Amino acid sequence: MGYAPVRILWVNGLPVLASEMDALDGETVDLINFDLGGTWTPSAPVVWASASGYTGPVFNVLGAVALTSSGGVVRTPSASGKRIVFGDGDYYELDAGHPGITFNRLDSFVDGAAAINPTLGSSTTGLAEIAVPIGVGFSKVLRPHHGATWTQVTVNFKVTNAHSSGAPATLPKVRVVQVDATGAKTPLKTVASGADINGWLSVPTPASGSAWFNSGNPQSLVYTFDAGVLLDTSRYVYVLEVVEESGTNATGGTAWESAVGVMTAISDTRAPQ
Amino acid sequence: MRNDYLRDSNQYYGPNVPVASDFGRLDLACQRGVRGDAGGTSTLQGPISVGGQGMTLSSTTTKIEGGVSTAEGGRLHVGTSWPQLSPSRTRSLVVPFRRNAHSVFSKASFSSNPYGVVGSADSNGLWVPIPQRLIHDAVNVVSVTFAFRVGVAHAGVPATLPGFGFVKLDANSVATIIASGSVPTPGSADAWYNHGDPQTFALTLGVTTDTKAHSYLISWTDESGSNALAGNIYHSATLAYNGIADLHFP
Repeated sequence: MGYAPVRILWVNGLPVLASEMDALDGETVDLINFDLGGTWTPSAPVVWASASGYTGPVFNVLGAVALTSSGGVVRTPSASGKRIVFGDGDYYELDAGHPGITFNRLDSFVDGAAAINPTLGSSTTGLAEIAVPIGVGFSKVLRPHHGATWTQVTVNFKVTNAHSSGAPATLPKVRVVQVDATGAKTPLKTVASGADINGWLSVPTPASGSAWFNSGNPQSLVYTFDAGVLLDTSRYVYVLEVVEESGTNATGGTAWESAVGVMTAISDTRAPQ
Repeated sequence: MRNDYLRDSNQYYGPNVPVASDFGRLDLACQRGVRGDAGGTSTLQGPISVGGQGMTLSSTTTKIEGGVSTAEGGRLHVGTSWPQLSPSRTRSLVVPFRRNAHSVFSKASFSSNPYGVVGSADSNGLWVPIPQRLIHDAVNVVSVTFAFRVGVAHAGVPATLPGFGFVKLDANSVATIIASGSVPTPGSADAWYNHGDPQTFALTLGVTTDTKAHSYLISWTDESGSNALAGNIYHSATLAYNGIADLHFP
């Protein structure tokens, strides 16, 4: 909205009054200069409406628009059918300090474990984690965040037998592999970061059978990837593989509880699944 | 569209002073301009295009209400918050009990068919992990509604009717029952059978989900005791969410 006319009809021969010239001069100072930019402090909203019959955009911003105060919003009217439309390949971007930059996700091993048997829904009796025989392995498909960098997976477990004869000769080991559409596996940890040549990381040898048992309390093994894994769920499935303890003093019975993945460098809100 | 110059450069000279038409156009340009300090409403017949250094809208009450489109390579940068939804949204997600679809693990007491999990009328129960993708993180689960049908006509109402529960599980598999309950006693055996048509039972939850720290399960037991018969089919559980206030990762 501009100014009211300074004069309804300009006619040659009539002198321009000082007040009129002053008004025109002042108006040009207030008007927005889109070429040079600048700062204005509106005392009322600047509203861009569409003329009757005009349905195109009212504003094309070819550079960036920054809402620099925390209350600034891009708002679509309720139930208006208005949309925020992303061009091909565009997403919401997250600031460097955004809490969503890092993302933890718990994958419970009960989600995919063996048959379990509760009593009537008022008790958790019969709830069971994964438990496998001595030297036997199991695998669990994990659900990491597409596009993120995967830094580590913490595998949680409990040793349920006392191991009074000593720690097992061979302790449990875990690895994470990416599996492509043809089934080809690639371990995501190498010798350089403490895994064996097949990507397996074993639980560190405890001082004794009692230490290994740890009174049945929760324990964990952190599987840290070499330099972070850029997750690509469009091409890979990510699988945690675990092999139970074995050899002398092995009793089995480890209760495998869950895996908690830590994902970082999430820069936008593209579909995470 | 820009205003034209009133006159070309160097055309203001000597006696060629501004005339009425010059002032008329100057006046008109001021009428059509946008007042940066006073604000107001401009009714546009075409778009205003701003390139160069872009724009900064520093007011806390800035609104862009007509919708926004990005050209390819453009971005909407959300700072350290999430895109907000106002009013907050609701959604419902169905957890099917078809064994092939979602890894329903059967005990001997249960079997499955293409329509769901089938009970055998004993007192054993079943845990069903809810697939993580069906848990919307950090929002309120209002209720879970179970859908089932009684498979065969009954001579009497079963002594123990089916029961359901909603359970969360932490990283060390410590379970917490959020809610549980049993189907209310029907008025008669026929009412229980209900011609084999679908029935529902809802549990009120009112719990905020947290997939960083928990996974979630459904538990249930079939009917049992006197008058109990095998053949009930359990189809699904529908999770109703509300309070979805933003577009954080679900």
